[in-house]
Amino acid sequence: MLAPFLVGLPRYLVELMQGEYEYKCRRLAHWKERSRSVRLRPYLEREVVIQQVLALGIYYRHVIAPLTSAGNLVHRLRSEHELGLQVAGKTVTDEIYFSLEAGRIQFQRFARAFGLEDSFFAISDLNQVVMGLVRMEERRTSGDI
Amino acid sequence: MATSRSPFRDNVLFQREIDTFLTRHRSVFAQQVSRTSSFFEIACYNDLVRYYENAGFTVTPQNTSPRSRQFIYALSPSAKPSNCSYFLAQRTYAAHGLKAFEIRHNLRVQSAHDQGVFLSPDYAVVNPGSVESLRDVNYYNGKVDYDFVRATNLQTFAETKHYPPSPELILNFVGLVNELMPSLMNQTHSGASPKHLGPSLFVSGTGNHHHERIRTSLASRYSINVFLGLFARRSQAYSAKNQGNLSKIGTR
Repeated sequence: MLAPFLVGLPRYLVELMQGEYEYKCRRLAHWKERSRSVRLRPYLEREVVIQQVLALGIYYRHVIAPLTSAGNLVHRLRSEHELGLQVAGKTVTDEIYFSLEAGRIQFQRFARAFGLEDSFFAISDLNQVVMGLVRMEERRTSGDI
Repeated sequence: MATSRSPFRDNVLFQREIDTFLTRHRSVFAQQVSRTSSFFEIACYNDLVRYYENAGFTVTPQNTSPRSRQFIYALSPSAKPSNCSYFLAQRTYAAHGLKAFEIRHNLRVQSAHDQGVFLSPDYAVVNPGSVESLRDVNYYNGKVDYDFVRATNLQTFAETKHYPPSPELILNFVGLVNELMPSLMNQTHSGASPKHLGPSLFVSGTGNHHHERIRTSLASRYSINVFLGLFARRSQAYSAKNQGNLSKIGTR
């Protein structure tokens, strides 16, 4: 599930992301194997869906969130002072800024359409992720959302 | 939020959306990925600036490049402060008159204990015009100015870590506080207005119960702020709602 997210990324980051993903998948498989919870079982059986969400979360935390976090300062400098930003001798051009923002907005839009907020992807704890998905699904089923 | 789609029930659509997103944006993110740490550092710098702004200060960028009209952010402490931009925070008080501070980044600060020891927190709030230079054969063979600020001119400082938190990572921050602001260790720090954000550690990763406990303990002992999970809760340092939970220190 993670492989498509890793295309073009440097090796150190690929190894970091892959390590996190594989560790979580192993724990998920273990959880699925041992769980007797009637409540959780139907969701743990759909392991692939949880893996998709885990892969998205890892990509968000390692790539999207840090790269788009500087947008606030760029926006402040542009809108209030008509200034650009140069970091370590390299200009953060409008093209870079807008391309990253476009990516962030599309990610946010499609994730929200499935009830997943940025704050959800910021969670790295497997238990919290799975329980968050289960609660969301239960609310959906009961018609709360 | 209202949504009818579910990653479980509409999984084919979910996967299609992921594929579409990656096709359109993956290459842009991949091209810029070497900047993740620096961009996160910049985001936290902006949080600190916003703290002063929300506290009623007027913040203006200083020392910007007039030719290219750019704010120059240096990532290395070896960059000369005279070549870097910073924000000047100013506020006029009825009782205290004009108060001004420079919000700088990667500035070398002299230890409060030993004049030969220097360290560079990611951000430092210092008194205006307090950057000094010395020439010493031990630094750059005495050929280049060694710029620094004395600890007595430091009002507060902050560090950023783009990592998952660990007890060691958080507790190591106390070493910097001890070196730069020992008055916080023995609780003799000034309480005078205006108040600054206590020395702060910005951490990208979310913490667990134990990290939260360390955070609370350090805040009560040394007036330190530890901000965890900044991707989930960006506004911790500056939101009006969270001001009551922050450790603040006086101006000295």
